Amino acid sequence: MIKLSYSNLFRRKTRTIISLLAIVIGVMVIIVMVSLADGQFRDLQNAVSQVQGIRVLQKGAAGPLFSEIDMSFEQKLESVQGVKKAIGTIFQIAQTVDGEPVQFGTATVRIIGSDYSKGSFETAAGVGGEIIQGRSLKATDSGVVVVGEDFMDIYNKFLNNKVKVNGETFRIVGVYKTGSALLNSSVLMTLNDSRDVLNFSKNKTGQFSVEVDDPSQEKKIAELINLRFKNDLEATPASGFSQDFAIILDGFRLLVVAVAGISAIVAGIGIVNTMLMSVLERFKEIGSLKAGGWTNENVMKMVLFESIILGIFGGLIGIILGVGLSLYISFLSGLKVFISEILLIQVFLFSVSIGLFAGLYPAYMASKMDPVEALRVE
Amino acid sequence: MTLIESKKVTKVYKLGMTTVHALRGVSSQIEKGDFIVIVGPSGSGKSTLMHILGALDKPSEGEVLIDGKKISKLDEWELAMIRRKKIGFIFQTFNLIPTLNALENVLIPTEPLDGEQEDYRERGENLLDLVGLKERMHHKPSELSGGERQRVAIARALINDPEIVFADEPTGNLDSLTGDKIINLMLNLNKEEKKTFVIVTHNQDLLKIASKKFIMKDGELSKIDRNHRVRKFTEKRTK
Ligand SMILES: Nc1ncnc2c1ncn2[C@@H]1O[C@H](COP(=O)(O)OP(=O)(O)O)[C@@H](O)[C@H]1O
Ligand SMILES: [Mg+2]
Repeated sequence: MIKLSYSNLFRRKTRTIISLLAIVIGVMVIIVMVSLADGQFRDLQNAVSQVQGIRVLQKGAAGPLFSEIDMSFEQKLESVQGVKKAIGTIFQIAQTVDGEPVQFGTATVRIIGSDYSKGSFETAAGVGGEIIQGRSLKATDSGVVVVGEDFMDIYNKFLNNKVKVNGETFRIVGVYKTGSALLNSSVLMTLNDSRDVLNFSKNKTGQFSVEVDDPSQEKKIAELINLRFKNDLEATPASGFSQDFAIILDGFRLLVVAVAGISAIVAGIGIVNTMLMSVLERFKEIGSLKAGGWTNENVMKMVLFESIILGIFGGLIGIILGVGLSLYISFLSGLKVFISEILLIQVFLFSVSIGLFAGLYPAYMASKMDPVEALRVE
Repeated sequence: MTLIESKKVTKVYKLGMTTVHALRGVSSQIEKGDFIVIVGPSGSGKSTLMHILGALDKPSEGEVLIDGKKISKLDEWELAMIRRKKIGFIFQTFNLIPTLNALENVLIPTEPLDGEQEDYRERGENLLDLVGLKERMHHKPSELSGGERQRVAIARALINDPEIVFADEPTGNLDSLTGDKIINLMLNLNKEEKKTFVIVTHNQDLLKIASKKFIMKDGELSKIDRNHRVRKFTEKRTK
């Protein structure tokens, strides 16, 4: 029976291919979207997990980019029990590099200004990582920057070259590298320089990175800060950062579900249409099957198998092409992709069930066809 | 032994305002080993009768008994089972599946059955041998002549070893020489394999070889005794 259903699909190759295409494209898009999103998520998680401490933002700020805090909180934060130091940090996206507007996307250039009198490179950068060329920054530096290795590639720079960031000229004295491709194109500078570049006044910072005496107490201390400065500040332990990303990614997943829904509908309608046409064309043949002793259920099964096979093939081809496309995009853009087995299994089941559900109505129609009517010679 | 019996079977089709009386009280008996030929003009109800006798359709009134069982009492599934086990059909238009080769087409009625595919396969090969297509078993219908296609259809009708085969204008799409060969094949199957045949046709020549002859006219079936009714039939035709 399965072999028969299979061979039935090859009668109208073009039509079969068109209805396959709808599933294949749907499956492909889902795989590309999810594998890229999961890739980014893992990437960020990796980066974030290297960071310790508590992030303190202005109360109500939508994120580090929108936060501005008075420097007077530096001492107030350091007076909180268990806090080792509060390091002023400004975190912004650069508008121009060497006069050219910076594209938003993978090559986004972040300006990270930190108070180097208090922190090592790793903490100050807020990203973790290591210096691979030149030196780290000192609190007394001015007019110099340390940049990520990707930045060097993108803007074709060498150590000690000049670079203009938002119109201000700097000399590159060091190059760093982190485990995350997304964070390898930042520009690190002293807090003072970043105030100049980003138009912050002398007594302001964007956020504080708070280091604690006992890392296991981070969560408690963050709660303490939130309690004490509840009108002005909002503290998040580093372990909570990844939750921000998770929330963004959840939004993205909703989008994926929407795309999946739409492709299910499009592919489903395609299959219903294909199967109905093919069943109507075979009116006479189905009549003859029934004359030969096939029951209505037998006919139904044959048609259902046909549409399930469509779902299986659509799923398999879509998975192969989707995985290929994801890897290709990753190769071209440098973005990481993560393709989980669970994703592949889910997507496969998804397309098989599209086949199953889309086949139900045509199969029912076929099973109800009157053999006598079918066999009347026109 | 009576295989199928019809008692005052009528079939009425309602098409909007008009009603068509396709069968008007047909009573008949099919005995084991019969080679029945039914002639009659187009639209006289031959196909309708064949479908009803073959458990493919139900009468409007009257009763059909297959092996003594009243088919009006059976549901669709039970009718399918009767067709599967006891009845084979052959059609004017062959109705083969174009993507399957001759052997696969012959095996189609066994598709829903459990059991040894190998056994069916062997049986299918033997049947194709029997109808003279041993060499062309693996050809698609498009690679076969009309006569060969009808031979495949005959083998398909026999695959489930039915007691009785209904053939609706089996030579209607064939030239007369090929048609004669097909009829001869059915005659041989009747003689050697003891299969019962009911053949519906325009072609009165077939009456000569029939063991029982009937004429269908306006939904009424009459038995032909050689001298009387045949003549009447011919009169009508030439008028
Ligand atoms: N499904 C149907 N609906 C309406 N009329 C039908 C139907 N099937 C058969 N008929 C009518 O019944 C009569 C007998 O048809 P049929 O049995 O096909 O005759 P034959 O096989 O002798 O040519 C014809 O008048 C035909 O038009
Ligand atoms: Mg007819």
